[in-house]
Amino acid sequence: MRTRIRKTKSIQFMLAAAFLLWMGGSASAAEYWLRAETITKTMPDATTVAMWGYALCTDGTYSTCDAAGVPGPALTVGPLDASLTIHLRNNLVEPVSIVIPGQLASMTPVKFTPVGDTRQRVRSFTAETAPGAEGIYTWTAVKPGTYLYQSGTHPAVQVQMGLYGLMKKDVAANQAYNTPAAAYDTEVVLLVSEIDPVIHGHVAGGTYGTPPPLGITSTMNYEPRYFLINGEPFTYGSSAIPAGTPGQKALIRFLNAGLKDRVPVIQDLYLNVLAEDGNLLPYPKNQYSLMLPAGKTMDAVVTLPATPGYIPVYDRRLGLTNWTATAGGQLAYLKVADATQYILTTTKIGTGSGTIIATSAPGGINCGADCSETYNAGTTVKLTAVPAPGTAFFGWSGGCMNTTGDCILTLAADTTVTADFTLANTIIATAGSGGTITPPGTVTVITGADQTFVITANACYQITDVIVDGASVGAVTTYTFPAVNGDHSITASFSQLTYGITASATAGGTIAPSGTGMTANCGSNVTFTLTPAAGYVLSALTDNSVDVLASVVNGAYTITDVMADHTVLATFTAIPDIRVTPASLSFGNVLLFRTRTLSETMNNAGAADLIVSNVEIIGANATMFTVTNWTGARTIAPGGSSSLSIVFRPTSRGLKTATLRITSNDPDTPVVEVPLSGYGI
Amino acid sequence: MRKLSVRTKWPVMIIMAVLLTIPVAAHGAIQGATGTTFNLTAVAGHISTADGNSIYMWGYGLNGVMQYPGPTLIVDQGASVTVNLTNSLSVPVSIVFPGQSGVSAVGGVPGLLAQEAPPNSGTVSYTFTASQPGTYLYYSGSQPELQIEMGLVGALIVRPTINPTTQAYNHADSQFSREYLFLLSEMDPTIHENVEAGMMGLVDFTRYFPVYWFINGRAAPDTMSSANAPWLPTQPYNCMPMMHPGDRVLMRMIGAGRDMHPFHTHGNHHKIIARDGRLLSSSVGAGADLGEFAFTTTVVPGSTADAIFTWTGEKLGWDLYGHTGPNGEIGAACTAAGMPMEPGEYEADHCKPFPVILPGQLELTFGQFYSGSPFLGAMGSLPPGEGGFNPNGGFFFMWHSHAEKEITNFDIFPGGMLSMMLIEHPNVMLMNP
Repeated sequence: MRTRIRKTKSIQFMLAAAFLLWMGGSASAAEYWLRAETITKTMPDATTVAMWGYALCTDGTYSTCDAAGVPGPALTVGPLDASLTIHLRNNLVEPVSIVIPGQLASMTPVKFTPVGDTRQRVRSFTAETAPGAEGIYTWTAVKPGTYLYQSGTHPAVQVQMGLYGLMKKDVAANQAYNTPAAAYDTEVVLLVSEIDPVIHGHVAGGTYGTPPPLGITSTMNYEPRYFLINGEPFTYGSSAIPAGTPGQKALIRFLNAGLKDRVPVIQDLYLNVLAEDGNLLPYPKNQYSLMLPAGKTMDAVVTLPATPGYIPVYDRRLGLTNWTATAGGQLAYLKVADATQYILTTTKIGTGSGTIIATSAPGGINCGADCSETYNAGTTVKLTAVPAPGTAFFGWSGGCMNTTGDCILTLAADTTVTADFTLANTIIATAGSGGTITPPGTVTVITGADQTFVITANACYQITDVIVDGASVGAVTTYTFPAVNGDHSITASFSQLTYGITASATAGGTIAPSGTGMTANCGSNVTFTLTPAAGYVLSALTDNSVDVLASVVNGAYTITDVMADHTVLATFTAIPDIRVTPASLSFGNVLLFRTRTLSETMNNAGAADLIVSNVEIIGANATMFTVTNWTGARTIAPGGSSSLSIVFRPTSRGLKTATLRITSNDPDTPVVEVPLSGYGI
Repeated sequence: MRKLSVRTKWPVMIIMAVLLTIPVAAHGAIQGATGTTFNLTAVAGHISTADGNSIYMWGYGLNGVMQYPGPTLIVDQGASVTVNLTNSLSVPVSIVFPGQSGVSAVGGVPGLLAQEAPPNSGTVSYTFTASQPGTYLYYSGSQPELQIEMGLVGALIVRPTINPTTQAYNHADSQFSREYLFLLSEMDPTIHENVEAGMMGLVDFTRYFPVYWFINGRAAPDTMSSANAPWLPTQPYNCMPMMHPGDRVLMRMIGAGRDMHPFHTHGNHHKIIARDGRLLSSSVGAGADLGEFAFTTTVVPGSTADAIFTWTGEKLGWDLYGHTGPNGEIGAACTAAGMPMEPGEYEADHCKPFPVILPGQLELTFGQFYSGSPFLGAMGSLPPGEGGFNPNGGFFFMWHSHAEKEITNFDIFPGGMLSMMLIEHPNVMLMNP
């Protein structure tokens, strides 16, 4: 069985194959006219990508064609069609061809000799169609199943540019393969692929083949940024794929036209996998995931659940972004239709702009441009309002009535939900520590309205400055932005109030801290340490002329909760301070009626004159002890000393004791007693 | 020429000196949380990699403590399972249960793939009936390309109604004496650094480039440390499969990340008996008659595979234990002549002599896993400082991802998706993982 290809036009290109015949059409044959051309695709993030796609045309004049798309049109070969013929018009600048892996064909590869080499390299798996020309590709005994048709020329570049599509043939109406399990009621196609926009840019711009940095010379660094199902990445506005009604058997044809492995996973259900690459498996596989390498096709049948709903299918290789944006890529929902359908319509009011997106399964609204969707009755939809810069969201009305947050509603009728996007601005109001600004934080102000802020200092603080949009407006207590028409900021700063503290002391001691020009924070405590010099005593302490001597504890005075200026004066007074040595006098053994004399010294450690007013001896044996040099009151200057002579004359045997009592003007110890003792023998 | 001293006699003395005489204890079971109600919290934390790195993660934890992977939930077939999820992260989270049908949710807000728990203490509760036994997984359905990478993934095991602790499915083809979990994942630390620094705008999954690979949340050699190691508080599970000859070891393999991993078992083929929680059956009740032997199984992201691994030393061509017949008998004749078989021993090789004369120690280089003797359960002399990793004289077979780059920790070998299957003498008590 040979396939023959006839060229209707042969331009600069020389075919190795000789004269060919077109096999006359059999009684039943599928025949298509495709035109390969460039298209521009706009991705959800507004990136435009040049692609190569196929347009379906009605006949060989190529004058009535659908818009070209990626993937190309689905080519159906009927159960009774033995052959498939594709007429290919090439509107690209490179030669193209079509191959269908898995379908037998006689291939006539095209080779070329690269510059500087003597060996040939294969450029095309089969005969090429030159730019501007038409080629014919025929398969005479088309095998049933699910297949990819794609470019067979320079495939590393051309396939990923978008030259791929589905080709399918059933064995009978609603019967994919020759097994009862392959009978189906409805059919779903999930053809996954990818886009690497960098490579597309070079191919479209003519720099593919130019060495870096201006171009690239191969697709070796293929790194896709977009991930597609049936040519489209998921967005919030994507519509679910109709899969049938509850209980129906749905045939799902999986195809991977991309260059990377993909793993579609279906939620809540198991797939009955019947075929791979158009070959019926001897036993079906029962899995919820499919390992779908590049170029693979797999067919599975699912019995749709008994209740209507939406079944997520997504790539578990996690190609689920639109470049860096989440909620994208290879995510789709199979819709199991309810008998009752409701339309959810979203509208926007207000002077501003924004987008309403459906952020729950199955998406469907990106308003934006896609502002309504038909859902199964009873579907719960979550709508999120995304205001544009310079706009604020002021709440929902209609199906939802909340003023903030998402709108979550369960459809029980056709419903309209309205989002209020009003031009508004943001004023950021911040207060430093020590005060408040009201209202605080991020304040939304409708464009054109006034907004007033009140600035209040806390106790013990004062407003230092108010800065509006970077410029100071002074330490004001209120500020009004009139007719707000832009974003602003207002920042209030505060400083703690302080008071002056003065402290001083007379001679004879110190107060610490001391001096003039000290300051203390409002509300703080200030503690002074009062230290008399030797021989002095703190005799007076005033704070703002008020006597506070009684508040001195352990030599310290504390002003609590400073609320005013303070002047603290400490007065130290000299005092006498009597010290006597030794602490006691022992005369030892003395013969009866003899005498012994000892001396007791009195020192004045104070800073004022010590007046010893009285010296006497008391006690049990006072008569046996005598002070011999007491002539009356004695004055001892500071630092000086004076001594007393005491004579012991026992008149009987045994221990004799008495007490020397000294009376003076020492304020702490006006009376000092010195024990006297001796033995009469 | 040195003769191995143990060749001439059954090395009873050496074995008995080294091994515990306690008979084999309870069979190994996978560590996890059992019951019908599970309270999970999505919480942030850090894990350690064996090259000393610390990586910021999000994980499902019980009792509010983050763990990676999330707790292995072990339930019974037919049970109504409730999973209560509390969200302590600042982004919405959720859980999807691939392979389970009829999952209903209470609370939370609807998301693209599942009902979600709102951020900052939001909650949602999932209920489903675990109607079919098998190995499954669960992971976040909220921004899954980010949250699965960050660690929000775990294993779910449904035990069959028939022989729940010794079978994986309701058919004897799934009978096992020990079971081990192999939850495979990979990691690109730049994503975690950007998330930790609050720079979500810098995260680009189209440039994904993993440099760490994990089994059960640990990178080798941490895989071989004990479970619940105190120095790995957020990585409680290990991967250190052990068996006796003759055991049937159930491998529950789970693709938890986004990459495929070719998991390779040295020592023998394993028989894949189930995928995605379904026995590979030609018809209902036929067991795993469509199961196939492989020594490398591609573990597919989001998918699970169950396999049975056995090992008897079959066709090594020599007696594992160094048995000899009184008059040189081989095989059943040797048993009849009075040299008994060990449990699980391959009879055709019973009493076959060791086929080579081992070179002298000065002519050998040693690995740390060599016990000094080629016989199972036996130790031999080693030069000072050699060996040490094989205290019971077992056989170590490396089980690992055969994508060799994946057995490194950030370019350092050994590491990553690697562990050892340890075959011990029947008298050695095996540590439960």
